[in-house]
Amino acid sequence: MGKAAGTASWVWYAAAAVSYCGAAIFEKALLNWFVGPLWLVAFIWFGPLVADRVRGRSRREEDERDDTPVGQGPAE
Amino acid sequence: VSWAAHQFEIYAVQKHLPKKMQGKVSFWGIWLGDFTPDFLSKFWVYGITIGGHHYGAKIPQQWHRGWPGMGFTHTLFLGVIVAAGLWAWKRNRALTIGYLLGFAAHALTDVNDSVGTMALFPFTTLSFSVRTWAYAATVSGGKYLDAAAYYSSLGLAMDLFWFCVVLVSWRVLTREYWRTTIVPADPHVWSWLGKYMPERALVALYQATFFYGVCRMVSWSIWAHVIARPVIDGVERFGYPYDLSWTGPWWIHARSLHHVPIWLVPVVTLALLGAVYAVASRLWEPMGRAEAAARSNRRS
Repeated sequence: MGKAAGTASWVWYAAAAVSYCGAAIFEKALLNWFVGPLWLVAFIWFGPLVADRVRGRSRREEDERDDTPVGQGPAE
Repeated sequence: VSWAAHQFEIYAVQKHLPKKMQGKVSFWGIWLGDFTPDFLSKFWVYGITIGGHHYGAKIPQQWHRGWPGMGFTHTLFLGVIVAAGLWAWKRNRALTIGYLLGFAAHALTDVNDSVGTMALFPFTTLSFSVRTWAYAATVSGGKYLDAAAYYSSLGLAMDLFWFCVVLVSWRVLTREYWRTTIVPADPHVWSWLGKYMPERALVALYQATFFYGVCRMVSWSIWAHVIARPVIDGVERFGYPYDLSWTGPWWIHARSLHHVPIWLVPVVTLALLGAVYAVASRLWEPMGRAEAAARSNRRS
């Protein structure tokens, strides 16, 4: 569990670095003392929140599909 | 001009404090001290162009490092004055010593480019420079040419050196280190931030300057050596050429100011660095007593 959480956190660090470098190569205005640090903080702070929300929504949709009797559409 | 080196050196300073100061010097103090020189002077070095008119320094190196100019922002003289002001205002040893050490790191690292800093200002306005790489901030080239020259020269080696210093001390970047060493030295700032941010965001905020340094080094290097198509001596090239010779790269004129003989620079720089650490170490206990006294006065 701890290892999985650690790996997940590294994924967010890597995503922040790749996206920032990728964007900054072509838009140098992003390379400044404010945007750079904020970019990382935003990814680490909000990335897992957004991912949890997306995962939660898709799980709910999956559960709803599983609960639907065969041959019937979703309850209205 | 040093680039990501300034982002990395704050972690190196933090990690290599004298034993009695470890866990007691403010990270934000070091950060603020290290960033002050360029906060005060850098914007006007490159300037800004509005409606085809360029607003900025006419002679960037004179503005950035010289006198008359903003060169005093890169001198220990200013660092000591601001640190003394912080002490008089806050009576906070962690912040004051951190600021002084961070400022010294920045001012002394910048002796490496061909312009250098006025290390003994106000006693002399001569520059101290070892000319390791070319100072390349120009009115026409702006930030782009400066970055291209830096990341094609021994400036890149300087960034990589500080990067490796931090990597060797990699624990300085961990959550554990942040909890046990960084937070106790700055409890008020971190607890205030903690009211609004979760712990993972606080740790990221602490690591963010290192992150910015790495990305800055990577992005500018890729741009300069893969994306850019400069014309040098009438020939279009695929990327700016590397030149790791002293005072390189060869394709740009290294700016300079009136300076002292090069052999004097390491001697004076190391002496100043030693003096800063000695003074900080000598004042550490008396400042701690004065801070405790001021705190008890405020309570009563």
